[in-house]
Amino acid sequence: MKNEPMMRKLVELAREDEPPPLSREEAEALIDAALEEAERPSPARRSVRRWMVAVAGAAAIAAAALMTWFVGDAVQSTPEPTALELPSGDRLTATPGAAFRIERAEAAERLIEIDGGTMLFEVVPLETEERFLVVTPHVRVEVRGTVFSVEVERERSRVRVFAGRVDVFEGSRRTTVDADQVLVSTTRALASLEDDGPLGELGREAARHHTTRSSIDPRELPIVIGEPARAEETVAAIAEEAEPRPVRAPRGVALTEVAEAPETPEVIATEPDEVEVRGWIVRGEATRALAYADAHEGGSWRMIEAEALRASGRFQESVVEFELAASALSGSQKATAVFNAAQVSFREARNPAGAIVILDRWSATEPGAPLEERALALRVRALRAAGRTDEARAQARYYLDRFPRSGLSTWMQGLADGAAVGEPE
Amino acid sequence: MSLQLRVITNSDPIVPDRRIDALRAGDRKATAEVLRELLPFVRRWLHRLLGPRGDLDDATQDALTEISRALPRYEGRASLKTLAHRITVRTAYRYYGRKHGREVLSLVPPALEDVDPESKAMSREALARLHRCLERLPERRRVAFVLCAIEGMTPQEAAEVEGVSAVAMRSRLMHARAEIERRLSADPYVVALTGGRDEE
Repeated sequence: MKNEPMMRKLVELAREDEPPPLSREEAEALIDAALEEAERPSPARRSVRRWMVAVAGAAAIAAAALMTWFVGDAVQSTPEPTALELPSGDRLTATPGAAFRIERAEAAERLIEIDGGTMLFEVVPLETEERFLVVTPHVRVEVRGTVFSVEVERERSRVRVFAGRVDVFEGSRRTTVDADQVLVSTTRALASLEDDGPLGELGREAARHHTTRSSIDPRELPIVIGEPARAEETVAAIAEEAEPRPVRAPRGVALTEVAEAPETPEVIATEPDEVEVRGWIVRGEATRALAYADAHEGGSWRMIEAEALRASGRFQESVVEFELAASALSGSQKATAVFNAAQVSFREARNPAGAIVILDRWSATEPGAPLEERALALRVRALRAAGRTDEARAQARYYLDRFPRSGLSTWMQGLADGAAVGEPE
Repeated sequence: MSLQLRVITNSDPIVPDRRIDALRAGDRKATAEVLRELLPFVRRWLHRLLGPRGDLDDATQDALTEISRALPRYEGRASLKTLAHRITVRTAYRYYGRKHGREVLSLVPPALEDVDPESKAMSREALARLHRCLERLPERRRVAFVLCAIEGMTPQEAAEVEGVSAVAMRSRLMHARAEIERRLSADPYVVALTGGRDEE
């Protein structure tokens, strides 16, 4: 080292430097304050009293955590439209109150089930071996790269196509729906699209930007798997990111404010970006992803590290890393990191008490929190698993007050009533 | 009832402390006793991790709160000090990037020709410049430097606190040192105060 004496001297100075002294009284006051803070009722419980106030100003994206890890979980979107992206780059938008479930999110097959509400799908053009399916109680929709919406009501489903073409199956009967056409399941009547329906404006805009696979720039693919794409929040999140990161070009209305395409794309094309590194995890190269992510700063790289640790079976470390990611992130990304930490703690690390602590520490179940419904559901399950039955039942009742139409409502009701319920499906 | 704190190395047997049960049961007195013993360590760690700033006691309280919350889950598999250090580092990360709260009193540095090289004022100024330099480092490298260079931990020990591999910790440390040297060797004040470049 050229400056070894300088470094030695500085380190010596730093080692000798002590914090300002604390009197015994001050030390005791600090300890008392810490103990009191630690013993305070959890934010989730306090929130019951505060939710009326909090909900008024809260904007929520309920399905923010629909990452590969949460495939199979039921989701009911919040009072705000829900937008998210799958790892494959497909973009999904749900109307407020829509109930859906992402059953599969692999490249080979994406399967989304809708129980109610309307969802708009912007599907990237598929390779021959890839499938994208949407299933409702009435129809099955097969896609080959298109923009379309599916509206599900009690008696019927409507499939509206804004770009491309889809095949709709009712039983064994197949109907091909082209752009600017609508199919209503009960009548099986194919008609020209005159009423664009809910999310129609978004669908039209997305159709204008719809591209073929060959024209997609790899840098347009999503930065974070399943990252919610609420326009106003995405702008802020990118602005707050401490390090330069690839920014996708806009493809639809929801993201038109996000950013311009980078002017010097060659700069970001030289190193693997976050999408590529996440791909390593999916392909079973978690160790490689871990090493690469570790050399980078920023909350989203920490998320990748946490995911890699999770994929490697290092669950406790994954929990810690997800929480560190949460410290560095904001908005719905932060909420996703917190939820992941709690979920890994609950599911893989088998530490329900830890999951509760995490959810409470980060106020994840506050009314209006980005993942409130999922966090509340997880907290109920964790309380139950931790043997805190009375609290679990009380929390289930609160859950039902907040989300009476959720896919978990039957299970929650059973739990609240004291019935012998198993784990929810 | 006092809980002895000690650094447990890999070769140390981890002896279950009989008071772990009290901590796990959330015994307030046992928890307060542990916090009392940890407080000087936590405060010093944070002082080094964060540098001189007005919200040191806020950070200390936050760290103690987190430690207090973690104690009921403590199973004695690692030393309490390691657990506390890990939580303290995590707390420091939360404070990085925050405004410093109250402004820390900063002295106008004395002119080089007016001070005795051994004086406290010079040392304080050199230290202040080191901390300013640390503030410009990426957080992980900053933590690596503090843990390894200032706290004197081995990369393996620091890696354990951070929950990363020793290789990653070494890499962070190496980059941190290089960056600090690059920045401070261009600072004539620091060079003069510390006798830098002697070996160039």
